[in-house]
Amino acid sequence: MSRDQAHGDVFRIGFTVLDRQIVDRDGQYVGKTDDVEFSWEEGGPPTMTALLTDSAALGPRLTGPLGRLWRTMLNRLRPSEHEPVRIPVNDVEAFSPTTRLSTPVPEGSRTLENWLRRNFIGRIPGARR
Amino acid sequence: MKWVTAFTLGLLTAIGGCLDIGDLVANSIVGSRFGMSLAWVLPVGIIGLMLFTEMSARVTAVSGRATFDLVRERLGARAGLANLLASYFITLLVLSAQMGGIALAFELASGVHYLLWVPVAGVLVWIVLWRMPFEWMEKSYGLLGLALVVFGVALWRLSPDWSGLLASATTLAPPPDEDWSVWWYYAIALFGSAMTPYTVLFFSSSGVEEEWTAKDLGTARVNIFFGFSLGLLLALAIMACAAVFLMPAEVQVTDLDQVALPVVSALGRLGLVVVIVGFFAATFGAALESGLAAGYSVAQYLGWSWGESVSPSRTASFQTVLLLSLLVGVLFMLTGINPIKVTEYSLVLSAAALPLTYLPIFVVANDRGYLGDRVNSRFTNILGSVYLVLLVVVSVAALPLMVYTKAGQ
Repeated sequence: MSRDQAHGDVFRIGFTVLDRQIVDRDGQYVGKTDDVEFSWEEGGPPTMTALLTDSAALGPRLTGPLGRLWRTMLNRLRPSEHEPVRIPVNDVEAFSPTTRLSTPVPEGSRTLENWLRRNFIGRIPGARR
Repeated sequence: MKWVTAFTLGLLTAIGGCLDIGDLVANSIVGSRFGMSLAWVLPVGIIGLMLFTEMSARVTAVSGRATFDLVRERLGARAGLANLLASYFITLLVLSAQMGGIALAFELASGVHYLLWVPVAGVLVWIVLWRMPFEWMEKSYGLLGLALVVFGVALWRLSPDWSGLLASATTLAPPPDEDWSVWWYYAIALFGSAMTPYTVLFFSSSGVEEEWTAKDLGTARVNIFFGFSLGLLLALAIMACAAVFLMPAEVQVTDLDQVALPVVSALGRLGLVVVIVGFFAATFGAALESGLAAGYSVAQYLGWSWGESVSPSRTASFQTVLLLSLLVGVLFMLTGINPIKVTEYSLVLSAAALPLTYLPIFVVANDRGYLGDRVNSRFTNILGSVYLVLLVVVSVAALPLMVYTKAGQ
């Protein structure tokens, strides 16, 4: 397990990475870290390679009836080939207290936000005050 | 001078945020049925509200994050989601009740049936949320809400038997014709009205929007203390008015008419005008706050950008949730369900859900990762723990008592 240099204690993914707010380099909200991606070579230890952000990525992490409901609902609401947004760990500047990226808002994130802005909220007079 | 303005404005906000349709209805009903025998619940509730609002103001000022924003981080995705769903549902019910309250205030002023006013109320609330900057919003309804001081004036003009009121307030038992279970049921409703969770959600999120820092903490504390104390006095005045005027006349509170009755009888037409302004300000302000609280909680759980002062086009999802919540509230009230009953149920359900809001605040306020050395003091923690036990007891007792007493009949 890797050590967090700043605090000298164990770096716990469940505590420091998952469910934290992600902001881009300008402080714009990207979303929450809904899940993480691990990769490993044959025989090597698994390492965290990416953060996944997308409300659908949250589904598999919720157990029980609440998780089932979440998954069914979101599967109905989106195109079937939809994949969660993947943010490589190298793009992360800091994990705590907020996960800050060194890049602008990653492509493909905030689909709902953009759709609603174009087709609904942006069309109401006064939306750009 | 600037400090003085900030102080008065904050004070107004605190008073405005402290009184809503729930307080108007609960205090009147309780006063008219039980005299002052449940008055003790109000200070207990308000002290709890002060305690936890201060914690959440501290979290916001030091970490720059709203309380609900941290709930998911600290409770995890699953417990956070369950919390979100319960809080959102209850806030929605409270929002509906406030819109019913606005409509009833309009009915009182115009004589036109309240159902016709419900959509008007919904549209007005939405326009204000859409167009008005934050500060303006708070100033206006805070200032207008002061009209409720008229209950104090009315109480004085009714020249009650003060020692009798005090004796009633120190009798910790229901009047002979009422049941203990009903007495306790209303104690819980009253507690729920004093500790309304959406106030804290709103307060901490607005702190983020106004970019509080640790420097603003002093002002925030003063505002919380004085504003909520004034709110407590007003709530007591409403209850006392009902106890002095409605109880002997055996008037049942089924509408805002009866809530206003003591004022009207003491101060006449002018009193009625002032009290309607007060009703409108209190319910309208609370509708704005609870609507925003509903939007904030969803946006903060899912990590969307949110904010009242940000251009709506940059917070499209948040604005959509606001709009949908208002729409659902309006439709719900348009079913013709009695707004006073909705208010009562919203209070008892709020009481049942109190730990959901206050436990996470308590946990975060003890986290050095966010607060450094500004974590809760030992005294705050002892008092906070006592309150958490109380909140759990209230929460467990609320629904069984509701069923057993048939919602206080």
